[in-house]
Amino acid sequence: MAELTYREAVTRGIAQEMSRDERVVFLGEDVAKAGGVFKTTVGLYEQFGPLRVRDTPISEEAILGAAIGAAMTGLRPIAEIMFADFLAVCFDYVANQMSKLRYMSNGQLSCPLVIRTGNGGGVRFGAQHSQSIENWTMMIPGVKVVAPSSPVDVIGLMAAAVRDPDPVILHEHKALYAFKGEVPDGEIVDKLGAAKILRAGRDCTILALALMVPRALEAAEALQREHGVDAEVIDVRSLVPLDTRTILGSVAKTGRLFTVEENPRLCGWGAEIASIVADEAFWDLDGPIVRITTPHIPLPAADHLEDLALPSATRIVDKVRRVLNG
Amino acid sequence: MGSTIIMPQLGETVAEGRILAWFKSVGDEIKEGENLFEVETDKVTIEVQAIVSGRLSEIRVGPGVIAKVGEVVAVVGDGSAKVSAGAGASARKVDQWRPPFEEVSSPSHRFGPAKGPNDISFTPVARRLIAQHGLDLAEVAREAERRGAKRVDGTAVRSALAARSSASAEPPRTIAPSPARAPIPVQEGDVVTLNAVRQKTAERLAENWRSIPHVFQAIEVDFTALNHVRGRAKASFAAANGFSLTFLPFIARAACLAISAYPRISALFDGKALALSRSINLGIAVDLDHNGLVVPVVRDAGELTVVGLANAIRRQVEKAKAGKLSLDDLSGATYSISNNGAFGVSFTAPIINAPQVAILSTDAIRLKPAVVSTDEGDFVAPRMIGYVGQSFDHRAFDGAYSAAFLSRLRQILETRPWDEEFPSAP
Repeated sequence: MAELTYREAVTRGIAQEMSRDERVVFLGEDVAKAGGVFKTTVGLYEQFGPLRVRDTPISEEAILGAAIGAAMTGLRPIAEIMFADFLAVCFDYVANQMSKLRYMSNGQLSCPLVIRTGNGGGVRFGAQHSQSIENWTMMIPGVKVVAPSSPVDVIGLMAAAVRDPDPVILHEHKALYAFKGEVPDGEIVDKLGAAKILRAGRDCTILALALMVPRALEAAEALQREHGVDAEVIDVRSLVPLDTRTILGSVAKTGRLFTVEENPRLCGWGAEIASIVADEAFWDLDGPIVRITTPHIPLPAADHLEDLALPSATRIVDKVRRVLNG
Repeated sequence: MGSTIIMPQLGETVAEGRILAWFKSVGDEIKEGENLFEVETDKVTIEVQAIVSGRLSEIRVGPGVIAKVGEVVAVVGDGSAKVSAGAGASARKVDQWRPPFEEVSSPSHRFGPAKGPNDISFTPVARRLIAQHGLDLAEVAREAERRGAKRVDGTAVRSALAARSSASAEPPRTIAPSPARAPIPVQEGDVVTLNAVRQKTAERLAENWRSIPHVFQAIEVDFTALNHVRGRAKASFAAANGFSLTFLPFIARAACLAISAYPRISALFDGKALALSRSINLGIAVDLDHNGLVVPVVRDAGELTVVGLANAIRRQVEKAKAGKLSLDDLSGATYSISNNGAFGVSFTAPIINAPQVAILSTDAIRLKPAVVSTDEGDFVAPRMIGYVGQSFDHRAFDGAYSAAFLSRLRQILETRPWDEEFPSAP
């Protein structure tokens, strides 16, 4: 058992898979000699050498074009898109190419590619470098989408993503890179499509993802301490495939559902879950489904404005308390 | 060794059922009485409960699959016996993909209204639990109102259930899987199953009939003078309003005027006190072409003239026939009128709609020989005669009060200068 930061877990996850399978290669902007602009890949170049760990030009299209080609021809690439916002630059590759290869070729081609990308806000990078875009990726048929919230999940989901035969987008959260957590020794492999109940509770279900997970947990403790509300907190972890069994099971128990989403409100991932729950568990609901989200705005860079925009533990407590009492 | 679970007999004419959903997975511990699976037949959708406890070791008929009555659908280990090695291997995979075209919806059960009496709202869970456990929705709503709550949620219903189960003895044990709700076997042609509206009406009528000591009184009214006014106003009324002027709005108007002298007629009674209503909200019983009865409300009827009442009643009747009544349209009546005149019956003794304390009935008004007293003596003459009757709750007041009200009502109907209601009439 060791205590690792989320950023160190990224390195360890990639290294674990590169050591296991020499088809695994890694490429991105400043990822090799510089160890990544977020220092998430320090030492990989030294450990695995210039053939398997490559710096690329500043071109997201070049990165994904090369990675998709490599994946189609037998490698298992991990490609870094530095800021998740930049997936918009290479969106054709994401939405039309890698996600449709298996289907368009009638299974003759596959694309075992992992895109890891720095998602989310809270670090004052402004409207074009802070967006939480997991909902953009969730909507594409042919892509799997995960977003770990802890170091151990970073490693486990990275391994599961690398071993999956199809493209997976792994959203790392920029504001979580410094977070620490216990990580067991040895190989860690998780699975895609499984949510985690992090805190069991009876009164309501709070779903959260990535940076919103620690905030939801903090809110749940405050709700218990100050308002006697026993909230169940679930880390969704995997948007595609979505673990509806765990979510519906929790709603069946508590009857109340809250989603805490960093993505902008309109068409956020929680809207899809709200729809599923309304469809499939209507008779278990004991009140309206409530979404706590960033508003539908470009994210401000100013400290206090960004803090105001993203859901905070205080906002979660306040909302849950008011809704449950109302 | 284990027990087998079979598709239960779901009704006399039902041979098979489609399993919609399993509420338990292989490996789950199940307890006697817990809902095990949901099954749909051509008649009903019901939840089937376990009659044994133990570990569910095998599901043989999955969701979406039809099984014949008596067919084994699952196996339960008896708990003490070893779970066979196969059980673990056959456990459902958590990461199983759902086929892309499979869309799941909550079964659209008719679990009762989302809004109850007095605007109390029910959450979906509350509606499901009330229906599944046969609680009295009105009673749950009253309890919520006593607590000052505007909403009934799962917690409220569960505590009502707990109160009930602690009050009553343990339910008898069943020996076959017991459908949660037993369907009524219907043979085409000889049984009419009541629709949901009719069933609700039936329940309420029976409850009112049982709990209220009804007294019925009727008074004979001479409508001749009123009918002359109606005759003179008819053509211009029809031209202005697009429908014909009947006796009903006159009677409603007269009833409102009489109530101002006898306010206890328009009141709500809870067994101990009469709450006199400041405004008269008239419930008008409307027959839905023999397919049910609704009683939409004309609010503040005391403020309306004959023409105003005619229009308000007409609006509510049309909404009722079109099935467009809202909950507001159906709640808050303080006094009701049942009108059966169209069929020529002489009088009707209607059932009071609690918590109201009285209901008026009007029936056929037709020419009859009657004695007319004049200064020149008594004559027999053809007059427009009809009975106006009233059922009242004897707990709320006595026969003399109701009789005095009816007498006043007759006086108004016979002697009021009805022409004044139609200022533009010639």
